[in-house]
Amino acid sequence: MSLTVEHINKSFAQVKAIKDLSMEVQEGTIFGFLGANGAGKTTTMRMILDILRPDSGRVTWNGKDVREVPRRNWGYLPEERGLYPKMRVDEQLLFLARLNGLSKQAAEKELTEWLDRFQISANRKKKIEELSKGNQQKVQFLATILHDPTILIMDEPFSGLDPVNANVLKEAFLEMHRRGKTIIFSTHQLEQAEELCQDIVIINKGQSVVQGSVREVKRQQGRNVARLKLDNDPEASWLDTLAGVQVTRRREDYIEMHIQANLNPNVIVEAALQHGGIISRFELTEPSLTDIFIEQVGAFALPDAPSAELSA
Amino acid sequence: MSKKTVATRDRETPAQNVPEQGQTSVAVSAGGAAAQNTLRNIRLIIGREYKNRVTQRSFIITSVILLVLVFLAAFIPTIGQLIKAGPTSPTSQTHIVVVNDAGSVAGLTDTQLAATIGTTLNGTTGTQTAGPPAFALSFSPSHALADLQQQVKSGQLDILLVLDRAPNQDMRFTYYTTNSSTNDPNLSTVQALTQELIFLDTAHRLGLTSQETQHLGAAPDLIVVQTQHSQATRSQSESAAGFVLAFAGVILIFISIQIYAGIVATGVAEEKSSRMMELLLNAATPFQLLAGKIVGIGAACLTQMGCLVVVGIGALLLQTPLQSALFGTHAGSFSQYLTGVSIPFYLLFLLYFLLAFFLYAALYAGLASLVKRQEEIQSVIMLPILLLSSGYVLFFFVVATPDATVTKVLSYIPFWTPMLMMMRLALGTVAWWEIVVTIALMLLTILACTWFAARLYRYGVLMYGQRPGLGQLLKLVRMN
Repeated sequence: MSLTVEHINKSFAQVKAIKDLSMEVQEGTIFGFLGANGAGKTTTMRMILDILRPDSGRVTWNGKDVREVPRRNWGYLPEERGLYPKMRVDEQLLFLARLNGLSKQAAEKELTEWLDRFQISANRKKKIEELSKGNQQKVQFLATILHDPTILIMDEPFSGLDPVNANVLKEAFLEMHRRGKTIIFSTHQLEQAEELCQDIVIINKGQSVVQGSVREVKRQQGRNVARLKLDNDPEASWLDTLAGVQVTRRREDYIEMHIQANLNPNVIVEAALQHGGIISRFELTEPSLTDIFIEQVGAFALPDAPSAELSA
Repeated sequence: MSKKTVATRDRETPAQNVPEQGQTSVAVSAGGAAAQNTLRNIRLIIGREYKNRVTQRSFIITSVILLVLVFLAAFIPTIGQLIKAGPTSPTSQTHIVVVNDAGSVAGLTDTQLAATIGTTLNGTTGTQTAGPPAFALSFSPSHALADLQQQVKSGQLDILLVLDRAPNQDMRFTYYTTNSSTNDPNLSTVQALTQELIFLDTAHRLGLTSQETQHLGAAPDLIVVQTQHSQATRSQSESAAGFVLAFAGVILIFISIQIYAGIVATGVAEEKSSRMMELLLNAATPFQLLAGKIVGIGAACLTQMGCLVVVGIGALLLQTPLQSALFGTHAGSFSQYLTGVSIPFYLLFLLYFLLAFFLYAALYAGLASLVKRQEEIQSVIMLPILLLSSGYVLFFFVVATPDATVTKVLSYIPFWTPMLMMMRLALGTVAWWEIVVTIALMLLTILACTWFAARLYRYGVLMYGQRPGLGQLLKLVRMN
């Protein structure tokens, strides 16, 4: 039971947007879809939803082509929010829910329940354009889930929300997870992905760079992170020459370095002692997703100049 | 990528997923599953579009303004007549006093002269309609002239006509009137009178007998034979009504199609710029969205037009009692236009109007889906606007010859059919099969245009980049 993307390719005019992308999302999991701006996240999501079709490759849900899957099984939260600005909240949501196959009565019932949960019942009869941005986002979220879809595709669901509203949405998110929905969401906030996702994929320029469970991804990196603090030698310039060690940043409180998986961390301690250092802190930790993301993507994914070299 | 590969590779069914399939950028939405709910979805979309439109403040305000304008416009002929009737009490007569300084005119006695003048002014029957004659005639001796002139000046008397003779014995007339307008409605009547009197007087002085004079003045024996069948079956009032209706109908079609199809185009662009489209495409197919939008907005616009027509006809029907109250006998010339044309004409007009709306709305919607922002709509719908306008211009070229071959041929071209058939129905002859054929042609064109529009739509709605050229468009439309 899973959503499977197999070797999809997609080009727009001369630009190859997606190159041989494969991934698998297990049913009932939260799947993080990470990548820089212009990496192809939205394009891939549209292909999963069959709004766009891949030039080659296929997308299947439980072995069935997504084209065959009834529309009401899908819930889509587009990246750029889209609602009728002059339509009332309840009319808008009922229209979309019914268009997605719900009966009028069922739609009304769901609507009342969810408006309550999101504490926006008072806005029921207001027009969308009269709502605050946070409330608009909530309504947009409701538009995605009201028809009780099996698979939720959410493009940047948390962007532009204040912490309080982000938390309300995160709760709803986890509620959908508890109900057994399969959730795919893209984000820039990697802490969020780390917190919510079982599996992730990082894509760059339309290609998968890293994927798997969050733990696997971290382990795949084949290295760990060490943090060292020497009271008498804050720079510890000798670290730069140590084999198997790569200093990533020198902070006021510690020096952070990547160490190769096969390197015994004791080597660092020994070297520090040899250099007469007084160790006040030494710890081993896993790399954060942010580290991995920046390492895999950051070096060349400048958001403003992505497409010049993308030509096929 | 080469253009050739696109054209050929994309004919392959998507299900085969041939690895080297062409690189296309066609946006497509779910087929099978969503299509099952086509009718249900279209109904939902129609409902939303209709309700959204008729509850929109701008729509309501425009409707009210139009209703008021139509209502007032219906009173224009009556008001015109009221103005024409002058400041005098409309039911009263025009008083005319004749002062005869010319002596014997045409050898007639005073009584005979009075009878001749009265007949010429008020028509041959004297009382052609119920009620008093339009002119009340009296004679005055010439010593009262100064007094009478004063009466005309002060408005107590409408017209003073003085007859005398020039040195060569020709008759001369002096016409005093209260009417300051340049288009004095009484002037032509009085002119006719003076011509008649001069004719009789001159004939008498030339020594002709009254019988010879009558013979000379007899109306020519001219028989008008109208060979066109249609004219023979049409009464005068029907022809007049046909002309008014042909013009009104064509102008109505031209303006309302422009406006209503424009509303459809704006609706599409709105949905696209608000990114509503992405949500909708997940729930419905492009065809359902397009059909629902066109029918929904069309229904809203028809509602508006229906209100206008009901108010307009109601106001026109009001004119008959109103005019008879104001002018007594001069009633109801305009409502005769309405009743002079049969019900089938109105039904056909409605049908052609609807067909024109669907045809142009589909084109407008398809093309509008290509724009990024609403401001760009005008530039993409240039082509249908040109088609519509050319029909409008053609109408004025062929309106004088409704039964000419060129008119017939042009009226078969679906983009122009509604306007030109309207005109032919109102003014010319149309065989029943011509109506059937033109409607069939229009339906076929509507199908083709809707298909074309749905193609553009499914491609256009998700294309936020640059606008494609015409060649690229045609290529896209051919893709599967």
